[in-house]
Amino acid sequence: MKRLLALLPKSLVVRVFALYTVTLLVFGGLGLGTFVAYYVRSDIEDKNITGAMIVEVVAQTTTDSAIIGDYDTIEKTLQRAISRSPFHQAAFIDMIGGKVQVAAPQSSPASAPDFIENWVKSELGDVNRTISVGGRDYGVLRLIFDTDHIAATYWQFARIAFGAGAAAVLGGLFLIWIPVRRWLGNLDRLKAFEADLQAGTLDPKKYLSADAPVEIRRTFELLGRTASSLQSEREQASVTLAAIADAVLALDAAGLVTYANPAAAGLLGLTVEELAGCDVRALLPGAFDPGAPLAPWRSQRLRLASGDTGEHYLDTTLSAIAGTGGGAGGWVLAARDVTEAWRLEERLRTELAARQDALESLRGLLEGLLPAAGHAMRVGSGDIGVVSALVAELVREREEGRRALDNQKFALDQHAIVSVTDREGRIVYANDRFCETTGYRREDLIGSRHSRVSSGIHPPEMYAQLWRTIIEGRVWQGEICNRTADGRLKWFNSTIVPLPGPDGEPEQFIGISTDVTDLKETEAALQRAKDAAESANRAKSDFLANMSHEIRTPMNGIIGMSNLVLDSRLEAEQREYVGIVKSSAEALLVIINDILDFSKIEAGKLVVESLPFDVRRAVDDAMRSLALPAREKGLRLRAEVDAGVPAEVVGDSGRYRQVLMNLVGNAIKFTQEGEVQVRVSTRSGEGEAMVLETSVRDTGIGIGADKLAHIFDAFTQEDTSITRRYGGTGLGLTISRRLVELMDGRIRVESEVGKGSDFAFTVAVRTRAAAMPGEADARVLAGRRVLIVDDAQSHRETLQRLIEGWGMKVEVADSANTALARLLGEAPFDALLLDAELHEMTGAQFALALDQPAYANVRLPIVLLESGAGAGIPPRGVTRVVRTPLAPSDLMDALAFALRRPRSREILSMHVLLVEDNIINERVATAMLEKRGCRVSVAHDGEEALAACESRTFDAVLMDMQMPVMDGLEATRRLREREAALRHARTPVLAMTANAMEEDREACLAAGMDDFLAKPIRPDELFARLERLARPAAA
Amino acid sequence: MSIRFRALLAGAVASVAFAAVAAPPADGYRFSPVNQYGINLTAAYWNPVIAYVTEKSGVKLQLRIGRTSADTTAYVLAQEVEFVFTNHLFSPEREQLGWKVFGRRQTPPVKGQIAVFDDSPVRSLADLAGKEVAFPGPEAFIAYKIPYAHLLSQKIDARVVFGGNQDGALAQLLAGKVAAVGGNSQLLEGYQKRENKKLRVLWSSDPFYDLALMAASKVPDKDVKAVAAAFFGMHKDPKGREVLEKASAAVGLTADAYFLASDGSEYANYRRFYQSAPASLR
Repeated sequence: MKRLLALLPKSLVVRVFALYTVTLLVFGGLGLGTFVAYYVRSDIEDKNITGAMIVEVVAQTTTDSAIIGDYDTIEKTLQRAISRSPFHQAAFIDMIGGKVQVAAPQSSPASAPDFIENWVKSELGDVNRTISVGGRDYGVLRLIFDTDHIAATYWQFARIAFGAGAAAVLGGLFLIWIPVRRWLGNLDRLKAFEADLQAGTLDPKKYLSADAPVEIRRTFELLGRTASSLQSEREQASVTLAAIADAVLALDAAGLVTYANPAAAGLLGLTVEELAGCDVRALLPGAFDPGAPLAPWRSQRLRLASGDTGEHYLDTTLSAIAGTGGGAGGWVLAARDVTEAWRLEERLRTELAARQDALESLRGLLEGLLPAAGHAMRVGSGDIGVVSALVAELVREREEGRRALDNQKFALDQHAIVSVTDREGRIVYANDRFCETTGYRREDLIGSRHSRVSSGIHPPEMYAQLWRTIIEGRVWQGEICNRTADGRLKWFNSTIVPLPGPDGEPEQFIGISTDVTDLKETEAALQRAKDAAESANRAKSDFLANMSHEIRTPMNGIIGMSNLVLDSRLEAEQREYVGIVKSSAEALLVIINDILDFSKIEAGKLVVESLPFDVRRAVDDAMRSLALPAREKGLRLRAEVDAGVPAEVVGDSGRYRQVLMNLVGNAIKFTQEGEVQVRVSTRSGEGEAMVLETSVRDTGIGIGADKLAHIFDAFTQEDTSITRRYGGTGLGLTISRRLVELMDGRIRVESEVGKGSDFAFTVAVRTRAAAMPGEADARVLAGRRVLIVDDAQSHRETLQRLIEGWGMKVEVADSANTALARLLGEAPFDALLLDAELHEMTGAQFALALDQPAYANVRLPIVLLESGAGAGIPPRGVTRVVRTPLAPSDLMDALAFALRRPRSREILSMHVLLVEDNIINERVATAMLEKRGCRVSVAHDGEEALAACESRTFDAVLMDMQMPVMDGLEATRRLREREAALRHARTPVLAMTANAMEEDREACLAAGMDDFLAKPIRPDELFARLERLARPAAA
Repeated sequence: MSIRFRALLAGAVASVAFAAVAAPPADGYRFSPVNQYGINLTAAYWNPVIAYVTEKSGVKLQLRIGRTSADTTAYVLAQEVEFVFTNHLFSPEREQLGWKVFGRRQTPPVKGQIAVFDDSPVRSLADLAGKEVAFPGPEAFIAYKIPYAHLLSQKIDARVVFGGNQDGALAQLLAGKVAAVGGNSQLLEGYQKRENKKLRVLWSSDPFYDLALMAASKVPDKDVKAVAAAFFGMHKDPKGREVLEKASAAVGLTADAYFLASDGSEYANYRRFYQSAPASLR
């Protein structure tokens, strides 16, 4: 851009001429170039079209000649085709490569530059045409453009066009130069303009030639009018400056005065002439920085001290007059004398400052008195009215506060004993009640130490703690005993509050007390009464426990001996009589248990456990226990546990089973025909919480609507005749309801007379995060051997693949007889999986077959696969029944359950130490154990038991609690200590006692026993516990 | 000696010469693709592709693009090219020339179509009776022979105009000189994308595979295999893929339009057409 500007001519005439020249060249050149390009492109297109037409025409003739092979005609046709055409060659190429080619003579007018020739060649390619007839090709007809000649033609055309254009431009420029020079020459005459303006003889028309353009003529007229207007304004300004009272100095760029008006001369005490040429810095010393260049300002107040005119204050403005080159070309200083106004302002300022000081003092005072943010804001407002209102408000509040304080003090004195002490513990105030209560006169108390009233019964540490609390600024509350002037002890409920001083540290302590001496005496009397009542209650509990123990011991004998007698050879009549004895004893035991449970619940002593348990196993156990009475009445007993119920939950399995057995037992009791159906499901709660929902539905006699409301009340059965007819205490449902409530659940019943009843109860349990369904089962199954007995090959294979997938070792048998033979073989199995419908015998018959003497050594858990729905009651000898169609999880669960149970032969081989002092119990237990094949050693007290355990190892110890010499608890504790000291394996100890209370059970477990069994001992319970204790070894 | 005799002699000498020379010509084999998009676009597509194949195969190829789509056929008949990209050589007579298909381009099968601009008053083929319809050229199989054979079979008397190539035919339609255009569905689609103009298709043929890569019988097998391998491996080689994607984008093809092997069986329906085509279209 700078280079272009450098090339720009100085003269306007030359610039206009140059602009015209460039414009003409650019647009003329572009136009000419566009015209030439358009011509050439049109011609190329025409030639292409022409070529296409010619080749089609030639093709017609050539095709006919090619078909008959007349190549001479083809040559002549080609010759004619290129004559006077844009082509200079033509050829016919036949299918075997033969070529007929003709060419026109070259007649180029002049050689064109290469780039033109190349471009033409690219635009005009060969024209090819296949010569085909009816799908058969005869050859190719090709016409070749004479591109050299065509390019030379275009080049010649372009040269002529551009030559003519250049001549036209030159002629035009010459014609323009003369008038431009004449018309714009008028502007040169403006040089004389300024001189005429100064001389006042300005006449714009005289600078113009007669043919001057109208634009230049108007410019000169405008310049003349502007000059006249400026002259007039200059005169007006001069008069104005002379008339005004403000001083005005005009300065040159260096700050020297070039003009001063009369007011300036008067203010500075010089004449106008004297001021001319003076340096403004000397005239106004102190207004400018020495040596610094002048800088403009606005409204600056200056103090001017002069010996002649005295002290003056001036409001001044220094303005710059713009000069060339961006700097100031001059300055104008305007000044107004404001001396009088300044003096008035000074007086007002002094007075205002004094008042402001007073207001600030008052505000500070108020802010100190009113710390609240709202008040502070109002104080800070600065409004004297607001401040006055605040002062009034403050006085009123303080007065109200003082009155309230007086009232509160009066009220406090009426109710409480009040004293105030200082940091040294000296009493500085004591109210009338303090004096009355302590028996001292006020004048004796004031100034004395508070310890004067101390009773001396509290330890010094209590006083130290009290003092430490209040000296740290905290409130102390408590009961304290003081001694009156006449030596009596009095108890006070006291609150001691530290009162902070100006430094925030406690300065005084106010003690507010109430006399609680009477209350303390009442409390002591109540405590004595409570101790007496608890002592009586303990005696009652002990009596209950003792009675329980005393009843259970003979009951153990009756039931145990009945069992033994029933297992011996008896006549039918004898068996019936003994059976009655046994059932009567068991009924009596149920009643005793109910009464004990009810007593514990009523006394609030029944505590529910929270331990992991297997719901399916709990249901299964209950069903197995009640399967016999159901079978005897011909009832179908079915249980169904939903698949969604976890393998393990955390809750009280014993109490859950107790409720379930009570409801199912009732259902069997009150149903003559049909079925009893149990269904268990879960509902999810928050987090691990879960609700276990169990329903027991029967087809029994049902309950009338008027009885339903009271069915869970104590000592109630549907009617008294029921009790007589069916037996029972009537406490069963009451106990069930209380147990369910203790397990955070609810129990309900729906029933219709003659149609049956539907009992349902819920208990709150928790899911066991660590126990993933199937995980524990899989561990139990891994590596164990199972024999699958099924005569259907596809079933066998499916089962084999499934079970091998769990890590078990599988063998198969395709018939019952094959399986029986395999069981007598050498390879022992851990479990048997049996189809219920084998050809030779049913699954149940197979299980019975294993009872034959030949299979005495084969004691296998058997899982039976049976078609149908619901949980089947296992036939004799069968451990679990699994329904088909098969759910793999059910089968895994059943196998794991079966394998967890110890084998009968493991129990058979146990060596048990029986510790029992009662001879009847000893005989009962020994007979039971030996009947199941256990080896039994007997000890009659704890010492004998310890000695026996020292001499040899037992698989389990059955330990009575109450024995002479050393009781079972002490013996167990010592046994555990010795095992720990010698790092011996832990011997399972099962408490077997008539002490049936919960605290007895807890005492047994605390002493180190593993389980607890209340007498009278039932064989199934005893062996179930033994199985459980033996489980770790079996697993 | 008559001209015919001289020509035949020249042809015989030439055949002997070709039979004797198994090596490529000194300036390389000539590759002529059918001019589908106009010379500039066709060159923009094929120049980088041929440069890549030459470099990759070690077999020098030079591009020869004709002014019209029929020029490639003329080069074949005049024995002036050794490799072509065409579908003009499937008539029974031309198959006797001995050209072999060795590959094709991975594009969806194309259809012969007759189309008009979306705002055209022509609504059906019947409206074309007595009107002019532009086609790329008499040799264009998909774009001319197939649709025109259909017009003949429907007894619609439309006048045929040739535009030289597909873009030339579309230029005639755009200028309003013809009522409809016959074309190759792939090229018509590419034109719509490239020029942002909407066409309405009046009729579509059954699908045909697009042009075939073919080699003359005189080219030694090893050279054909080298060239074929370079074509087929192009989309798997990062450099080749980049060349192919840029070239495809220039003519409105997708990046998936790479080259793959063919034994010629995909072009059976071309051969079937010639069995029943009107004589004027064979």
